[in-house]
Amino acid sequence: MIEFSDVCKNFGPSKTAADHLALTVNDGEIFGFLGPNGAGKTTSIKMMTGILKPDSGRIRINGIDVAEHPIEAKKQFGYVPDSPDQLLRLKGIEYLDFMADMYDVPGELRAERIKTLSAEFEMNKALGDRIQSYSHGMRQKIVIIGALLHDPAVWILDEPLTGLDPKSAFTLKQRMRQHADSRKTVFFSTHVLEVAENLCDRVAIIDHGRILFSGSLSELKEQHRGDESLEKIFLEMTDHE
Amino acid sequence: MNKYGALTRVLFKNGAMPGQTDDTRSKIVLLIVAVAFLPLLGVEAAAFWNSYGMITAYHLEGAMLTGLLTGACVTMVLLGILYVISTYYFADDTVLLLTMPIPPQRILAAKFTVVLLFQYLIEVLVVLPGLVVLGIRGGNVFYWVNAILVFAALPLLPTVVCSVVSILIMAFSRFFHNKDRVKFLAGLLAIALSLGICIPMQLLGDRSVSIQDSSALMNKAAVLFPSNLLAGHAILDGTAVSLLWLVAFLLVSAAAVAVFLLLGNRLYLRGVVGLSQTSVGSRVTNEGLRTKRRPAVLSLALKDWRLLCRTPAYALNCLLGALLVPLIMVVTFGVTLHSIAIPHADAIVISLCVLFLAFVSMTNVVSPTAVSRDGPDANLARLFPVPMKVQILGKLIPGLGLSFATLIITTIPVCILYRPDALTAVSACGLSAISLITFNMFGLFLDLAFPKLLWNDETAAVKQNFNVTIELLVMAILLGLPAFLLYKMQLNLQNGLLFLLIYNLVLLEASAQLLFRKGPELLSGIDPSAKPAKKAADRRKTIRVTLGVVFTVAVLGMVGWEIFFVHTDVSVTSSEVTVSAGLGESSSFALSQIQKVYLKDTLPSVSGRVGFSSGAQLRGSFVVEGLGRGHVYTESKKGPFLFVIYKGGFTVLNFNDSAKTNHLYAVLRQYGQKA
Ligand SMILES: Nc1ncnc2c1ncn2[C@@H]1O[C@H](COP(=O)(O)OP(=O)(O)O)[C@@H](O)[C@H]1O
Ligand SMILES: [Mg+2]
Repeated sequence: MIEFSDVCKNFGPSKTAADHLALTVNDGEIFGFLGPNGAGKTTSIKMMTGILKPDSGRIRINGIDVAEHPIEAKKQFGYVPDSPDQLLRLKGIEYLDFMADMYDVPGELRAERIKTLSAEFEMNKALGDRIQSYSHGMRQKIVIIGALLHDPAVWILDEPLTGLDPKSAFTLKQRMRQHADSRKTVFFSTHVLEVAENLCDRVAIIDHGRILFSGSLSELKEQHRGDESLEKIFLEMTDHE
Repeated sequence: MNKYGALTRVLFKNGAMPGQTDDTRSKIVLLIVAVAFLPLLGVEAAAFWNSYGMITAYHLEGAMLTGLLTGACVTMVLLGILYVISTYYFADDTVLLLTMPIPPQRILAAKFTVVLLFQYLIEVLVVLPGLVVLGIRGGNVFYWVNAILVFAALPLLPTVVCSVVSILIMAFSRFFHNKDRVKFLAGLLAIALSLGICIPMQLLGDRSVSIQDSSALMNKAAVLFPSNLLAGHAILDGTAVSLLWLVAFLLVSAAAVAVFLLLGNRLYLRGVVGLSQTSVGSRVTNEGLRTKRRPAVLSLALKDWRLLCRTPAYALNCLLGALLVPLIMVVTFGVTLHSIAIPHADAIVISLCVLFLAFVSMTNVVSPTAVSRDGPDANLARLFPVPMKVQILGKLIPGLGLSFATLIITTIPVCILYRPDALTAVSACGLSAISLITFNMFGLFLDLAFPKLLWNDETAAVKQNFNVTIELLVMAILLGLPAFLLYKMQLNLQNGLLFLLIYNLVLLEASAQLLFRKGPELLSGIDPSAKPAKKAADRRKTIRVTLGVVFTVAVLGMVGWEIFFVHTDVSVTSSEVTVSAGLGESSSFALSQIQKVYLKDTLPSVSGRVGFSSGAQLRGSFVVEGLGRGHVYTESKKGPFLFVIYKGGFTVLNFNDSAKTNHLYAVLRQYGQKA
C-alpha cells in the first residue's frame, strides 16, 4: 500500500512538480500513473523512494512513513528508475551481487533468484560483461532484476517498459500481474496509454503536478460519456492553451 | 569556413575546455585563477631580468630562447596527448557530429583549434616572460615582429604531433578500441614520455658541450624540435634576414598542419567508428552466475574500489598517484639526501616526519573525491535501506586502505635508507597512522559537504575538485602547527611525544565527530539532480567561507600564540647579549658596553609603544619614565625586573619565572660592576 497525503514539491518559485498530491494505492492492484512529459511523474516517484524530499506532506509505504523511518520504508519496495544508466563499470553479476548485499538477501536465495530472473529476462549470457557494454534494453532489464532480488512487497517502476523487447515486456507485465494478484502492490508510471489500458486496475492522471483524475478506467470513461477513446479523453484533460 | 567557425564555437561551449564557464560568477573565479598566475609570471620575468647580464656575457640568448621554445613544445606534447584523445575521440559530441554532413577534415580542424587554445595557456606560462624580457632589454622591431608571429605559430607543431600520434594509435589498433583502456594507456604514455625525456636529459647533462660554444648549445637546445632553431634565429637575428628565418618556420608549421589534416581526413573516421564498444567476453554462463554474500560495508567499499580501478581517470589520478609519488619521493630523496642523517629522537623532527608521511600518503585523493566520483549515481545512497553511517564507513575504506598501503611502501625504504632510531620510526609511523585516519575522514567530510556531482567527464570529479586542495591545505596547517608549537614550548622528548599524541588524538576525535555526526545528514541530502547553477554557486560560496575560516583560524592562532604563550629568549655569548621575543622582536648589546645592571620590583610607567603590548606583556621599544627610550621585554607584571643600562640605551626585561630573572641578573651583574 502506498499513501500520499498533501505532498508538495517546487523546483524554484514558478516550477511546481507536485501540487498537493493525495493518492492511495491499495494492496492487490496495479496502479498506473499517467501524464505527459514533464507532468511530475518522476518527481513523485523519487519522493516515494526517498531520493527527493517533499517540501511538505507525508508519504507512507505499507504504513511506514518514508521520512520518519527511511530504512524500514526502503526495505518495503523495489525501485526501477527512469534511467537505467548507473554503476556502468560493474559487471552485470557484480551489480546484482551488490544490490543483494544492500538489501540483505541471503546467499542461497540470491543465487536462485538471480538464476530464475536472468533466465526469464534472457540476461544470463550477459551477466559476466560490464553494464557499459549493454544495450538500453539490457540495462533496463538488469536494473529490473536488481530491484526484484529482495522480493519487495511494493514495486515502484518509472517507465519500466521503455526500451524492452516484446518478450521481456511480456514477461515483466506478467510478473506485475502475478505480484498484484498475490495481494501486493505495483505502482508504475507511463505515458503510453495502451499499456495503461491493458494492465492497470486503477490509474491517476497527473499534469503540472496536479492529479486530474484517480480511479478505474471504466470510471474515467463513464465520466466522459463512455463513448470516447482513452486517448481522446487524455488529450482533452491535459490540453490547456 | 562558416561551418568551421560555428563548430569551433559549439565545441568550446560544450565544455571541451577545462573549467569552461557560462555564468558570470564562475568567470570571476576563472579571473581570480588567472590573477593567481600573474605572480608566477612575474617571478619568471624577474629571474630572466636579473640573469640577463650573465646570459649576454656568455652569448646564451640563442640557447636560452630555443631552450624555452623547445621546453614549451615538449610540455605541450606531454599535456596535450590526453587532451587531444579525449577531445577528438571521447567528447560526447563526436558521435553526433559524425552523423552530420560535415567532412571529417572540418570536424578535425575545429577540434584542433580547441586544443590549440589550451596550448596557448601553456605557452604563456613557459615562454612569455623570457620572450618579453629579452625583447625589452635588447630587441628591435624585427625582434618583436618575429617574436609575436613565432609565439602565435609555436603550438601548431606540438599539437600536430599529439594529434598524429593519437590518430595513428586509434586508427590502427583494434586493441585500443575500448574507451577506458585508451584513456588509461594515454595517461601512462604521457607519464612514461615525461620520465623518458627528463631522465636522459638530466643524465646527459652538459658534458658533451662546453658553455663557450654558444651555437652548439643552441642546436642542442632545439634537438627535440629542430624547427625551433629556425624560430630562435628568426627572433634573435635582428635584421631583415630574420624574416627569411620566420618564413621558413611558418612554412614548416603550416606543412605540419597540412599533413595532419590530410592524414586525419583518411584516418579519423576509422578511429571513431566502433569506438563506443566495450570488450565483451565470451564467458560461460555458469561462471557469470557465481555470487558471494558480503556485509553491506564491505560490499559498498568493494563497489567503490572496483569503480576506482576501472575508471581510467580515477585509476590514473588516485591509484597511480598513490604508487608513483612515494616512489619518486624515495628515489629523489634516496639519491640526493641519503647522506643526511636523521637527528636523534626529537619531537620536532618526528612531527615533521609525520607531516611528510601524511602528505605522501594522502596523494591518493580517494577520500576527498569519494562522493564526487559517484556523480549521478550518488542518488543510490538514499535508495538503499542501509544506515547512512554504514554507507559513510564504506566510502571511507578505500581511501584509508590506499593511504595505509602508501604509508607502508614509503616507510620501509625510508627506514632502510636512513636507519632512524626505533623510537623515531615507531612514533612517526604511529602518529602518521592516526593522522591518516583523521584526514581521510576530514576529506570525506569535505566531499560530503561540497560534492562536485555535475561533470561531463570523470576527470573533473578528481582533477577539478576543490576539496582536494582544501584538505591538503588544512592538513598542512594542522600538521605543521605542532612542529611550530614544539619549537616554541621547548619540551623535552617525552613531553613532546605526549603532546603530539594528545594533539593527534584530539584531531582524530574532532574529525570523527564531524564525519559521523554531520555526515549522515549531508549524505542523505545530496541530490545530483538539484539545480546546477544554484548548487555550484552555493558550493563556491561555502568553499570560500571554509577557506576564510581556515585562514582566520590560522591567523588568530598565531596572534593568540603571540599574546598568550610567547616567551622571551635571552642568549648570552662571550661578547654580547641577544634578547628576542614574539615573532621577530629582538635586540642585542655588547657585554663590554654595559654600564649598570640592577633589579627593581616595579616597572616605571611606559609609553610611546613601537612594537607589541598587551597588558602585562611588552615587547619592543618604549619610553620608560626616568630612562628615556629603550628596549622593554616583559612576560608579566610581577617583579623583579632586570634593568641593564649600557652605552647608547638600556634594556628592561623580566620572566614569568622570577628565578630566571634572578639568574640572568647573577650572570650579568659582574659586567655592570666592572664599569
Ligand atoms: N532537478 C530538477 N530541477 C528543476 N526542475 C526539475 C527537476 N526535475 C524535474 N524538474 C521539473 O519538474 C517537472 C516534472 O518533471 P518530471 O517529474 O521529471 O516529469 P515526468 O512526468 O516526465 O517524469 C518538469 O517541469 C521538470 O522540468
Ligand atoms: Mg519521467
